[in-house]
Amino acid sequence: MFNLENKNIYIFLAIAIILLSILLYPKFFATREVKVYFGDNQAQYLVAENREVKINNFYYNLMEELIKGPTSKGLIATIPDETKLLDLEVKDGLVKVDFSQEIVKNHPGGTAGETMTVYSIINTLTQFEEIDQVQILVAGQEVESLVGHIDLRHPLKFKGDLIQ
Amino acid sequence: MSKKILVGVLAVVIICSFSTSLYANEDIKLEVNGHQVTDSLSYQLVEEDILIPVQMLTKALPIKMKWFNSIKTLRLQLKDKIVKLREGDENLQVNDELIQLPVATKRVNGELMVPLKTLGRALGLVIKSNPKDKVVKVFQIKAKVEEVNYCQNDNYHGIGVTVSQKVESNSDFLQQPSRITLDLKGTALYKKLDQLEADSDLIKEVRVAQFNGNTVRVVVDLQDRVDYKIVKKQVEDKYQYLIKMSPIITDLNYKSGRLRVGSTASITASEPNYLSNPQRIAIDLKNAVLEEAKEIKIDDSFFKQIRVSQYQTEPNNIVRVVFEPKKKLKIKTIKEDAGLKIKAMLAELKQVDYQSKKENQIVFNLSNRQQPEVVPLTDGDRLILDFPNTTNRFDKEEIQVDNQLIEEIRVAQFDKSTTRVVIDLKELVPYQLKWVDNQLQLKLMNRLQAVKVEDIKTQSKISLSLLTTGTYQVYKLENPKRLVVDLSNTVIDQEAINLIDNSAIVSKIRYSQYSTDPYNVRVVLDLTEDVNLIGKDKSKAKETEFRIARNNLAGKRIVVDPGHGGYDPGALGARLREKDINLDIGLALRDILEQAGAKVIMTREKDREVSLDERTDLANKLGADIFVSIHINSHQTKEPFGTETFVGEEAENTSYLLAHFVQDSLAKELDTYDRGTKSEDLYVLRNSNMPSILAEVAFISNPEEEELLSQPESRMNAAVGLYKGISKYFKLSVEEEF
Repeated sequence: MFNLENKNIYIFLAIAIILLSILLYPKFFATREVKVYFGDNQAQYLVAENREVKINNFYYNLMEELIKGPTSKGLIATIPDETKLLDLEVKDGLVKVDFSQEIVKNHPGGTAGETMTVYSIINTLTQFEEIDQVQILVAGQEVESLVGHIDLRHPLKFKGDLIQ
Repeated sequence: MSKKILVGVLAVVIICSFSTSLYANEDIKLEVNGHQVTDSLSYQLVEEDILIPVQMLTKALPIKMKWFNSIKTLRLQLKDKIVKLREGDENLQVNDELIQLPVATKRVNGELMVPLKTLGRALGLVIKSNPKDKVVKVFQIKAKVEEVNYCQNDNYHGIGVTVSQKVESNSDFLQQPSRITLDLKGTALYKKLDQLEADSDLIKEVRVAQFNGNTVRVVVDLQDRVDYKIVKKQVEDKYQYLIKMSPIITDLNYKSGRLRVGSTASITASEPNYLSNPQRIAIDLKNAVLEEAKEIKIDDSFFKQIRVSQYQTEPNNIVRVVFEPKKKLKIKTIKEDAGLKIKAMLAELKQVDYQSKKENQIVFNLSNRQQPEVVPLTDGDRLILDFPNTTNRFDKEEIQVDNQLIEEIRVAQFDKSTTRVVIDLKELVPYQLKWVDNQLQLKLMNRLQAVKVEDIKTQSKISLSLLTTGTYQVYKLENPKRLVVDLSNTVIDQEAINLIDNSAIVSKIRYSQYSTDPYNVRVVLDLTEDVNLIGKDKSKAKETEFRIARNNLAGKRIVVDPGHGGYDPGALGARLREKDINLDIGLALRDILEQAGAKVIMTREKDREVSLDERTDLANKLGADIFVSIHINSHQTKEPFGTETFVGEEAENTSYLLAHFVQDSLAKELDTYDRGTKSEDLYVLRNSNMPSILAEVAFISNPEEEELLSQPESRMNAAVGLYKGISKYFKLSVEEEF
């Protein structure tokens, strides 16, 4: 009896695991094909690299992909070294994305460099219909600008003319 | 036979050798002091002497004689000489000395015969026998003429005759030839005196001779008439006869400031004595004799009259000349061969000075105005100034001059009355003379050699090449628009002037000798548009230049914003900091814009932090026409390069226009890659109310461009590029308004 019961329990458990797996798969393992924008070597345009990003914690993962930098030759990372993603909050089509101090401290400056950094974030996040605009924060704070050029006091929208 | 002749000849020879014995049996005369005592002297010739009766001497001469019969001795005394002689004795005692006689004294026919020569010598007499005239002469000599000398000083020409004691003298002046004789009676020349050659224009020579036995005659042969007197005086134990001679003024001739005093020999004048109340000038002519006082009425520009008189005769002759001048003047005496010339010197050159502050000006300070005669010599490039009737305080003085045109100035007394100044020049140029009081100013003219106009970046350079340092003044004139350069004290050589116009602003260069009194040159630059003068409008140099810039931004208010600053260095290159480059370009741009007439407001003029809000607030508050922010680009990698210009998000067309022109000219001036004009949501562009741009000049992160940005020339080119874009923008916007 015990054995039978045990057998049933195993079957039940197996079914349950399979069911759970089927149910949780999208949550933990399902990915989405996205574009991650990096700078071209002249810092003139943003060029997309296609990545598979886990749907679970999707925007966060997406930004991590951006921080990782490009894989293809000729594309340039836009996020300064050692920059960490601190927080990301999505609400009513607005993403508030918070980076660590290094995004300022390790930034090389220049409008070109700043544009690449800012709009690789903006354009990568706003490629989806559900995201309308992005507000960049540094260490949890609103900033005037990263390195003195682009106005970051308000959320920014997708900028198509930067994409080649 | 021949023996007899020989004996006869020998006898004659022997007899002749004893001259006194030759005419032993003939009548001979005896003269004492020139008076004949007897014409048939009883005598006897002895060895080299002649015996004569002692009475012959004593009766003709003041000889005290005493006969001491007891000792048969005769005592004779003539002045201080006492001679004793004994009848029949062969000795003679002179004072305390014994002298051997040739033969003993003896009495013949009751008369004591004495040897005349030996006795005469003992008594200080001079005995001379003249066999031809058969006469024996006896002279009584009182004194010796010891010395004759010549002396000349300012007071007299003198012949001094030194005699051992005072004697009777007689002098005379004889004409044709003029001579003075001085006879000294009772004197003898004991030694032969050399003929005296007087180095004098008055005296030819002085001859001294024994005129007759007891008279020495001094003859002074003269060149011309003189006035003379004889001054006799005791000099120690001697006696001197001084013949003092003075030239005679024969002629007084006045003509235009010159009094010629003619005299029989040269005369010396004293320094003029300038007296006042009334104004007069006295000159003493030393050692001169005037035959009659004279008043010369003149009344010309120099003198009212001249009075000449014998001012003094004792101890020396002085003639005084008194001038009554019409004005304050100096006189100068000039010695001439016979007499002298007294000239009215109208001026004295006291100082010659080269005034370094007033280039090419030489000043002559004179006591009175005296116009010089100026002779320009092309040969040797010199200017000669002869000041007539002018003395100077220089003795061939040379004045070294540190001037591009003047090499040297020399001053000398050219002749008796002319002061000459020679100015050695590098090139002979026109000159101008001007009197200021008693100062004569000689201005040497400058020469304009070339005018060159060329465009350099945002400016036009006008170069003037002058012969030497000169002064110019520049100003603008309207209708038509032109620039005028006035060069003072300058001339033009039409053939040699070089004009070069390589400027778009200057359409034509014209020039003219604007005036000749004073010499001024005017250069006119015809302009295509209004300009601003940059820097000095006055200058002093040999090679000189000034610059002009187009006045195309007159009245425009422009905010220039050099990005970053202070604690914000902006982008960092390998060795440069963005904030420094921004400021450099910004300041250069400010200068250029201001030269073009714009009113420029800088958000910062030094390395200080200015917030992004402050920058735009300033532009908004001031109501600026445009806002230009200057930045240097950067990137994570070294690759990106080039120039780009930004306008704000949703910018007006005017901003795009401005950005487009600036981007275009900036990339062109810097020769960088044109990354184009871009729109970006840039902080400083977002808040400004006027056309605003942000220029990213080049990449500091690109090694090649960092090198470019390190060069001052490139920073200037960036400023020029920005200016050109701005200029084009305003030109177009103005045109659009019409």
